Amino acid sequence: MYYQYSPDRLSTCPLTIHALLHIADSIEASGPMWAYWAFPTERHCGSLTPAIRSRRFPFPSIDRYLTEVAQLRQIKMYHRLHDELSLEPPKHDVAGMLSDPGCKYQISRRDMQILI
Amino acid sequence: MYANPTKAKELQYRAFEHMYTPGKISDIFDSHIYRRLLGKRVTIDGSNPTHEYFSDPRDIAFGLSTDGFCPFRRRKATAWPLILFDYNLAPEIRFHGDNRIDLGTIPGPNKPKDFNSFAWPAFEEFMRLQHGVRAFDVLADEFFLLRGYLLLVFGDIPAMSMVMRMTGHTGFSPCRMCKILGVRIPNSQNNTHYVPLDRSFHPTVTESDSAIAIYDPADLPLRTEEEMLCQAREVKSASSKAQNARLSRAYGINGISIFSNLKSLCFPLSFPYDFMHLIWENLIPNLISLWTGEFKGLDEGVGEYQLNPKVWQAIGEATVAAGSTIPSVFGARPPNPASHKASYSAEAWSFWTLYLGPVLLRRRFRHQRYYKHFIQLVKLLQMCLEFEITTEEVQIIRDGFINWVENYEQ
Repeated sequence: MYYQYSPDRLSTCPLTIHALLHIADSIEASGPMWAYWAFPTERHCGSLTPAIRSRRFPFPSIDRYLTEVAQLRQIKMYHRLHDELSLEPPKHDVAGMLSDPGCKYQISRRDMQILI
Repeated sequence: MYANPTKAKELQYRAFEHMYTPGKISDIFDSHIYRRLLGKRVTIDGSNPTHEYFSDPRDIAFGLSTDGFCPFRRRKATAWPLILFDYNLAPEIRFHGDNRIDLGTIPGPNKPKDFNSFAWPAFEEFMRLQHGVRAFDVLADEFFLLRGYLLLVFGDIPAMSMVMRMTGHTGFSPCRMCKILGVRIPNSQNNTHYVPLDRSFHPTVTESDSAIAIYDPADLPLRTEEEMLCQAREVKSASSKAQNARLSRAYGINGISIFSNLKSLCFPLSFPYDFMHLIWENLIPNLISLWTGEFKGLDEGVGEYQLNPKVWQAIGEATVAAGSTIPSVFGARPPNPASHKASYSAEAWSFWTLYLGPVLLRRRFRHQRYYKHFIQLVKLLQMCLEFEITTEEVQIIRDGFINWVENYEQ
């Protein structure tokens, strides 16, 4: 239909067409396709782009970002500070948060989400 | 990780939550590369320690991923992040940003020439993890030896060629799973080798008796770990530069990958093809290029697969119009594939192919067989994406792709 067995049309048969024949074996050998596709990897790459703060030294910039993220993660994990150090809007009240029963102008969780 | 009670509980997925049912594949723990290790003694550098793979519920299964990415739009520099995924976590959380273990980024601007040297620190840690590292388990309130094994390495084809030390997808022996040989376009400057199953009309076959004319898709000459290692050693110990080049071309292997020392990995099965790049970033855009007559300057030959430009434009507009009525849970609004093809992401191609393409392309080809062929592909892709795949379905996928590729070549 596409290659027509013609040597001049060989470029319709790159490795990616051939690789389809290995998909079934791959599922049996290594599990479902979603378990090892590159979507999470690409997402990680996407998070690295804004981490570059220096156009002259992009790579040290990435390294610094990765180290800091890893350190923060370790601290959260080790000291069980997941909620306190989270950068997401809090799911429940956290000590020291911007709300006090005595305060007239309480910030609702929804406003908080908008603010953050 | 095991010192944190929440995390320690989450890490129990592999041992306590995932259930293995023979005949069903729902996670990597149902796969051959995992199950072949169960009950097997760990071997490190030829010595046999007493413990078995994954005998402790706390033993961790790791997957490593890498990919080249360009930090700047206007520069060619690439960086290669190495990321570790922890498969002991449940599938719905294991790929979350917080659960990713970033090993580091191989800096650019050039592609790493000697990947082994960059992977060395990671390799050392994997070796140590096979022996066990002292850690505290908060749930059992005890110190224990934390062990981890690398099961999978994944990424796009160039990245995997780099990790496995193979010549890559344009080479003479381009496939990392089998020993199929590539052929070049006759009388052309193009250096790429292509891999049709049937090359019986190609000059290399008609002029030689030894070349294989037709490969049997159901019985491809698969690579084995032993053979790959032998070939890699042969390439490495080649007596001269010319000999080295000759062997690496013939085998498709450049040298010995440092990861071949990790016996928890199985060459080449632990390096599966990545569905995202394979399908959503190559196969589908290529098919569309063919239909729109933009594929590498090829005309349609004796086929009738090209769409009238106006038809394709209308399909593009219909795609955009559909965006307003598609619930946002399905993903981002699809761009116009006719005018904004470059802005299509893998996710957008996936949505277009699975849900829009079958409707929009119906009755649009001059010959119905092209539509039927496309639908056959969509059905197979849907099946590949199911969360749970049975052995029977694997067989349907196998036969289906064989049939699809054979029809494609016809």
